[in-house]
Amino acid sequence: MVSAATFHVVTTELVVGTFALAGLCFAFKLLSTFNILSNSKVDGALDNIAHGALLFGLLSLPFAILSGVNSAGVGESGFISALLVNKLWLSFAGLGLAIGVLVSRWKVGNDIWNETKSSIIQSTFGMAACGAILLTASVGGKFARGESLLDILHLPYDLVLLMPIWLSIILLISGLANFAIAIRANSSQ
Amino acid sequence: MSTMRVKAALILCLLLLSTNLGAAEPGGVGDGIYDMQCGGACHGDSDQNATSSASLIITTESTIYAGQATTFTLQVDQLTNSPYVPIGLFLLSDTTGYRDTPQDIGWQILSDSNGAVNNYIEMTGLVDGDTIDWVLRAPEVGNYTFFASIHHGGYDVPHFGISQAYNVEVLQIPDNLPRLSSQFVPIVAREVGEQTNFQLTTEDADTVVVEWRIDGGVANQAIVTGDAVNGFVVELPTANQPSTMQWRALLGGEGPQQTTPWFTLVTNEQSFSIDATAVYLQAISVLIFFAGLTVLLQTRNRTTTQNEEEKSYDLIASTVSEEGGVL
Repeated sequence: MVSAATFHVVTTELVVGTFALAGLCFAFKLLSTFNILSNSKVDGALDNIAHGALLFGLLSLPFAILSGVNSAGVGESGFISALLVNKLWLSFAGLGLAIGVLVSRWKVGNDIWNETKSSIIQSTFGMAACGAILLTASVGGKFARGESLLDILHLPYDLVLLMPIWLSIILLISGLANFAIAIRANSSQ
Repeated sequence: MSTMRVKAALILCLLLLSTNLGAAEPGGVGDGIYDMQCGGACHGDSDQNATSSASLIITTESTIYAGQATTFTLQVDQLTNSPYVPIGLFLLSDTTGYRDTPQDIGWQILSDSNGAVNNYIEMTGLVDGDTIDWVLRAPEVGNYTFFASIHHGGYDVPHFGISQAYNVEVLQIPDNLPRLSSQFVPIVAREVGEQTNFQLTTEDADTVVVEWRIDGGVANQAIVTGDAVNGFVVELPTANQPSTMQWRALLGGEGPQQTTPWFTLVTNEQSFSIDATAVYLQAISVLIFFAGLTVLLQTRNRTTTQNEEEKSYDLIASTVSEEGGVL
């Protein structure tokens, strides 16, 4: 039987690899929006790779989160470190951004790249999803090995960004309201 | 195009060839119970290890009784590669790399120098002549062999070293020997500000004196209450900062006086605690919020664009109809 820690390593490698690839493609798409390094031949491929990689990463992400929670023993001893808390909410933020980006691409279609504003939103949120996941991986490195590639940035990993429950509930309601408005706007078209 | 592909392939090959074959964990893997070489987890392929210059010497007390605690002291010298931290040190029962921990031959680790019960510990700031201790409870009477091993980095190569075999003979307990109960398990870690009282279970001991010291300093006497019939209760002083305390018991009775090994008690910062419900709720809220925000922004943007297009269409249509044209 493969242990949760080993399974976590495998799944995180899949997630980080695919999200990093997607993030790179979104960065090129953003540059392309401003006619920097723009190439009509590769634009379509970048769109496909960005969303394809993001989808694959998205499928692996729940397994990475669950195996991570299991291997860190959160179920038995709770969150023993601020790093674990930051890892959890950052990975969920990345998951949410990735879902939003993919749903938007699915609903709007290829037209999403035809306009500057939507193109900027799409590529920026795609890159933000990638950033959240890479930051999560960096915190993971700090937790497991005591160091990470992003140590050069001196990020406050030990600082817990925990909202009060009431604020989380407001955020949750606000997110659900956003979805409802989006669905309504979409169905009225 | 094909030239580009060849160039790309060449660059990829160059990148692959320039990778380092060393596969160590430069930040260490943390203390734990590991076989020699950690099953390859820490230093990758053991064939790529360089030999460490370190000399490792194990010593124990001269007499070890079955079921009683004893100290294994490991002295490390000739650490020419010592700037590379951390340094990993093992206490092993053989060198096969499989089921070779002291536990595998029936010994129980009661404490290590880092305030836990591991056979592999990582140390920083170790210099020549430094020693580290493991306190182990001996199993049944017999002869046993131990090894110490070292893992560390240096010059981009993982280093590995192993000590000479160290033989230990475990003897039968003499009659009436004042001793700790074979069920006694010492506390190895506590938190800052935590009061430390524990029951010291003994056998054939009429009097108990407990000494404690900080980092090998002067020994002080701890408060011991109770008696041989009801049991002895030891109270160790509370620590107000992270530190390492050692304590031992001097047991008196009908037999010869016995002194236990120095047990290590590490005081850590107060452990992290947080409301798990709030963490999970925040994570789910953040997920829903960002997903909803992204979809909303794109949908609204699309709606606005379509409305503007419809307005432009209406404007053109009305202009054309006013001019009597056909649209």
